[in-house]
Amino acid sequence: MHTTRRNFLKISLATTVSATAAISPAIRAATTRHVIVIGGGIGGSTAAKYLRLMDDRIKVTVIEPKSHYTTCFMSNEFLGGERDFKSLQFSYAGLARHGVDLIQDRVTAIDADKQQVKTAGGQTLHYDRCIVSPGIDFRWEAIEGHSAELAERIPHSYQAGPQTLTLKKQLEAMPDGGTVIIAPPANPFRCPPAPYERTSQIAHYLKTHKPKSKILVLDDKPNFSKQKLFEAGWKRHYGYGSSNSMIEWISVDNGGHIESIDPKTNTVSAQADDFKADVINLIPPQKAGRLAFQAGLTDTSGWCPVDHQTFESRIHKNIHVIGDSAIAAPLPKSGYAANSAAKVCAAAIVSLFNDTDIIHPSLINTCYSLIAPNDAISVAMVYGFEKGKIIKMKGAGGLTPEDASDQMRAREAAYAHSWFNNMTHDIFG
Amino acid sequence: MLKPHVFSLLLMAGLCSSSPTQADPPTTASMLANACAACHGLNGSSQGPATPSIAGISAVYFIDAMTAFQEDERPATVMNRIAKGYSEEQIELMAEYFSQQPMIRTDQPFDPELARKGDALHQNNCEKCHENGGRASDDDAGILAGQKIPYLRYTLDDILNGKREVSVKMANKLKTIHKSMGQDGIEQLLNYYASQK
Amino acid sequence: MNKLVLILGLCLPAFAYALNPPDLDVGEEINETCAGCHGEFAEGGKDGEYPRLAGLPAAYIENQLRLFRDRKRPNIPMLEYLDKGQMPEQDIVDVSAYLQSIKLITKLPPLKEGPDFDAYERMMMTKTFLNIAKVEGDFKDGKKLYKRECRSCHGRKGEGKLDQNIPMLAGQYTKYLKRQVKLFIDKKRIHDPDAPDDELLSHFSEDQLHNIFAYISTLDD
Repeated sequence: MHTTRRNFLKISLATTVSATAAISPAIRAATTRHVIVIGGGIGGSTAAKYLRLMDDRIKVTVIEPKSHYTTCFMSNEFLGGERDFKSLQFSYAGLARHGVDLIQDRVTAIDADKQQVKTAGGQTLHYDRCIVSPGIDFRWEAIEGHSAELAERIPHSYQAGPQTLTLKKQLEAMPDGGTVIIAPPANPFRCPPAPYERTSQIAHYLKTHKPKSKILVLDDKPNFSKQKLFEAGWKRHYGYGSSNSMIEWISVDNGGHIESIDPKTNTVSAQADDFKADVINLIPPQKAGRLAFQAGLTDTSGWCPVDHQTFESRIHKNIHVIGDSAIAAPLPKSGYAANSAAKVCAAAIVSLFNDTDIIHPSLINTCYSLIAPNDAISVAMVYGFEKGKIIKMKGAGGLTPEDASDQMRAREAAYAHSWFNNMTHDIFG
Repeated sequence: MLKPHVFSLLLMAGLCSSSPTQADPPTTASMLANACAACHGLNGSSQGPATPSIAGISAVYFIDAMTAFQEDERPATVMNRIAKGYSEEQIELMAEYFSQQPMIRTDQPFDPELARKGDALHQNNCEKCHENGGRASDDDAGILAGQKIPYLRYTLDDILNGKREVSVKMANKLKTIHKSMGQDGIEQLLNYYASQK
Repeated sequence: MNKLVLILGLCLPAFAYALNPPDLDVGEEINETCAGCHGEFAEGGKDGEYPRLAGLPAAYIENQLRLFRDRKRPNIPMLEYLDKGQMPEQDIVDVSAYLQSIKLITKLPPLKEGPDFDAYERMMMTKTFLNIAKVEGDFKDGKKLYKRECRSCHGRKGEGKLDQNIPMLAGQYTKYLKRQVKLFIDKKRIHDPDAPDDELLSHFSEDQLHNIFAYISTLDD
């Protein structure tokens, strides 16, 4: 094989016009580089698409057992009765259009030394680099009597899909005047404001359909994300703090920690007391996704340490970990952060393949929470890179101001819906 | 990182990069811009319904907007918090990047009758600065044609309520329209912009 | 070519007879008269008592000459040259085109003595050099106001717009500009022919206007 200068020019031109090109790879690899992406969630799908956008000479294979993805974000709005379940579901056709190969299968093992991935379907695939984006798994053992099987009946609904539907059905079947328990876990866990957005959305559903019902939040933390804004929102919409409040929040300091669950009586034993409920949404404490453990990518924290510039595992070479499984603090475990980190990781892999300088990461996180229709709050941050670490940019970011007008909060809600459309289009479109 | 045989091939072809390796390369325009996509769409073309497209807007307008957000001079939800995370140089890089992207217009619902009236209203009042039916970018005014309607509605509302400072000329024209036609005049303009593909 | 079409287009409705395309050589000759006050290279003089004409849009100059002649823009010194058919339409077209074509420089390269030094070239360079002295003021405020209120017509760097006959502000004498502002506000001159009744400049305080000019004075540096 011989690369002529003319060919070379053609190639560099082709890569230059690619709008998202992180760099213009000036060198044509003699062999096709193969990146295997394990997990077709937010991190994995974004990385796969952007690898192809940045350098379409790279062969990209996504291995994912599910035929489509259901987004966690906005699934609370479905619980609130303001969104169709279908609108949360996305197929992988978009990735295929970008030239990504899809294998619907489950990875059983990664051999970091041989750079091989084995699947349940019996395939063995070689990779030059592997991106692992396995999401989260649960520490069932932390709650006595709980298990993955029980979660089919007492759902966490924290990996959107069948359990989201289960929770919705349970809410619909519940009598007016019933009690819903929502139990958020201790830190760190996926999408810190989500349990409280869920509380708001379920309160909205109950207020509309079953106004005599109550929500009891049994929290394993002394405080939570966007707390002041949530509490003010609950006060505004759901009587929080009054004798007629729809929502009661019990912090860990007041005995919110759950020790065990009894599915026969639908009762949880918290430190404060035993609580019986009609619907229990128990969100167990979390750790990195199953595959991260199997592949030995986790440390004692139960999460995956990574290089902040490339998201390459600090344990195994040529394997990158992105999304909620990775520890890249101060980067939060959020959908936006996973999307942003996936692009940084893709750009780094393109640079590594082409032996060019790795570009300094720049990331954003913007996370909206819908408290009620036309009322949303947000938290945002811009992340830079300094001395080998991802850092929060000074003076940037923060929360919706506490005195934001109704008009601005309504705009946030409109922007939250736009965020959903753009985010999912960016990943799956 | 390249495999040995690839490397020798490159040497043969004389393609080895001769540029000096920077020890600490800065970030690039695409790295910065990619992070914006989750809200503003891939390469700045928004899927809507509300978040504006920023693809194709002039670099000057982009810089003005980001500077105004940084200084809290423009009403904002998250953008004032985001803009403060970037240096002047980074904003310039993004400005250049987005100015070179084509703005892809997604369909928006509109009323053809209002759009027709809005066309005339635009020609008489706005065209001088927002050239080519609000499609131009080199006039350094924002692109209006095909821009997301809720966003434009917020903007005009902010201008009419004195929350966003714009040129005296624009503010006066807008107030005159609003005074004589009420919100109808504003909606005519918005429907005209929504009608443009 | 476009410019030519535009100029002719502007002239035709007013003048039934056809004019020849502008002749720059003739324009240069006519300019010898103008040079007495406005300078050999139309760089203006006496710190803006006589404005710079070099590089202004030809159609803009033509319009001003006609306004002087028709006594719609009061200017007694200029009348003397335009009255009684002294300056036919063709002369107006020729000299305006010539004035537009003159390029002034805003920076002088450092003097390099030695065998390559060309004294004549240096002298010519000096003659075409014009840099407006920086006026003190609140530049930040001026910049903000300029960007918001003036830029869409007068350009990003105050360079004006040749294709729309909009004069430059950067590189023009501050004193001259301030004098025109007063004329605009007093309705003795029309600032924007598209909006003759609403004088934009009357919406600003003296301080704001001063800051705008302070900022403009730095644009040619």
